[in-house]
Amino acid sequence: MSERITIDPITRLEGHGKIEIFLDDNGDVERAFLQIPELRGFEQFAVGRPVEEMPRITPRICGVCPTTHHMCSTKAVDAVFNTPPTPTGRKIRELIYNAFQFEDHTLHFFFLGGPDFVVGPQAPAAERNILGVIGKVGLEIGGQVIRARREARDIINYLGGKVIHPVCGLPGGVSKGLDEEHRVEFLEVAKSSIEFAQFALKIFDDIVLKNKDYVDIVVGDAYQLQTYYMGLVDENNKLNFYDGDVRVVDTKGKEFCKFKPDEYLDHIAEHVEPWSYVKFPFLKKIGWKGFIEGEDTSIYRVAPLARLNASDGMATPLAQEHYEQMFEVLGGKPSHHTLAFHWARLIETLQAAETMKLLLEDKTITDPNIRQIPTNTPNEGVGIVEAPRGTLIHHYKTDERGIMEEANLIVATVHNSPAIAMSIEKAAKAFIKGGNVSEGLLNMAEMAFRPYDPCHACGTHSLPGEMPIIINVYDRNHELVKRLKR
Amino acid sequence: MPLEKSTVDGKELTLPRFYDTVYTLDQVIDVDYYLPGCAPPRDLILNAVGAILEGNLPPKGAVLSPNKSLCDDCERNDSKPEKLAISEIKRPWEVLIDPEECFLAQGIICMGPATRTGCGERCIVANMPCRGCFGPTDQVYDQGAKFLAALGSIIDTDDEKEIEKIVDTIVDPAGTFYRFSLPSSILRRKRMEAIK
Repeated sequence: MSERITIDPITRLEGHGKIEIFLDDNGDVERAFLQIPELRGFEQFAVGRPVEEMPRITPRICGVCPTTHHMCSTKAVDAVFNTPPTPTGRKIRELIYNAFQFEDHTLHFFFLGGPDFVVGPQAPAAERNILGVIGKVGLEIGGQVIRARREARDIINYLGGKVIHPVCGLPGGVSKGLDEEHRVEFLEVAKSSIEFAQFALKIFDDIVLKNKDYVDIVVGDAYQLQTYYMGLVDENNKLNFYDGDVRVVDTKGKEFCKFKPDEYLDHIAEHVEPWSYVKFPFLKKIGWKGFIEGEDTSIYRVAPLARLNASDGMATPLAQEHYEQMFEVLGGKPSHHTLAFHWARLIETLQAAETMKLLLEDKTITDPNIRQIPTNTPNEGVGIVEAPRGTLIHHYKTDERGIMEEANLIVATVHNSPAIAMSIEKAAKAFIKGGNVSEGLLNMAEMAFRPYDPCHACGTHSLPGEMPIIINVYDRNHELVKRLKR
Repeated sequence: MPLEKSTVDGKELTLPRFYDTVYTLDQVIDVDYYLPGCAPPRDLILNAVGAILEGNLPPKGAVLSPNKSLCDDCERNDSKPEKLAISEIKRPWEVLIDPEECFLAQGIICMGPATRTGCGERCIVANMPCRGCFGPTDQVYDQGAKFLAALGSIIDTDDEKEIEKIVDTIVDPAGTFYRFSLPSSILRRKRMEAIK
């Protein structure tokens, strides 16, 4: 009788993780743990670095979302020098940032999380990837996905220097401006990005929402988790990726708190467990209550569904239509249906594209005044953005020359780590019964983390790399009975 | 605190332990070819994949990027004066950077002289100085030392006190000159005694 199942490493996410599942005597799941076995040490080796180099160092946390670290870090450096960007500098940053949200979310839906739905959760592993998706939707659509991402990434390339580890952020603005020729060219890209985002939503509608079995999985109990929700909102409480206040709503959707970036330590605390290198944030004003969901929890979630829950709506009209439709289908707001993260992600993709168009229609984005030089003595500052995977916080303390003395990074996926651990345990308990452990069932357990689009290199400020999976099945004498490898 | 071994509800869980030193890949396994860059640019990746598919690879151990420094290809090289002579070092945030003049000529540290080319000078084109992510050329063993040498030859004074004053304006030399190459350099790592 098998007792322990190890999924190590887990697949189709960024970073490393292993899942340990323990079966009781009936072969049902007694406990399941998601352990993050990596640690980077950015907060340590940041010490001694010039603060303006942090936007060039911190993107190395992750090869998938370097732009988000670059932008958040730049905002933290702004705050350290108490020097905001010029209006044009800010517009250029917002353009880069929305282009990034667009392409990163697209990556996740088609390459990482989407295959579960497009190909089918219990399809053979060899098909549950982008190639399987292309096999299902056709080569032409596959080509469109790649092209849409490339065009958005070329905007980041042009303005940021490199799409992986952009370099243009400086306190008070950016290093490179936009000329009229490129404004016009990129405006066309923005328009086709809007079309592509709507097209992706249509694919989701055709493949998931029109399939009753999938809808049942989405609204079913196995993938539900009642938590609080956190996201950045603008002055109208509409969703914003680049800037704003942090807003938290409770399990019923009522605003619990709203705070400015430099107040984050009053609201967020981190809990440590001995079995994982990732930390477990919770709402400080409630206190650590353990890994529980429901009214009494102090656990909150971030990232697409959480942002849609925490805001009063999307900031752009086409995305807003989809926002309203989604909550109608899911039975109201807030939605606790974890798989709906995939849907919310596509709605955000649409807002990102619409925002790119708005920014590029504004001719003042070609203004040459892209940067102002700081005059204040550097000291301490906090930058917050909404990374594709959730609220990202960079907090820097420097000496009077602007040399780093201390860094605190709370990286998107970390906020979700308690919820991810709980979602996996819940799904494992729902699907693995009577000792029946097929690969397809294990994938149902993995489907519990993919909606969060985790970035564990980020989550533990640790090295990204390959995420292979090994499944070790042990009997009650802890003898290795079976090993499945991917 | 995270532990290498812990027990929760009677279940034993493990985490991997960490070393106290960073290793380069070739200090751990045998490396056939090096694709430089952080991250390697898509053209170099495309060329490398093409070379493999065509069976057209150079001798083992080669670095798959041209063996010359960034300055050779840099579009700002033309504006570099015959003799570079700087009297003050500026950090990138302190000045509005001229988008056409050589960074070193503007007094801004740029690792170009000590860094291999092949990246398309992407950071330079974005109006930011090079930070050395391609590593050094074949002839250079220690990238940081190479840059120190280059810096020494362009500081515009023979007066020792003046030199000291200028050098004092350079912040974080180890973290800047060795950012991408410390584990493969002569220095190798921070001294353990200094940490303890």
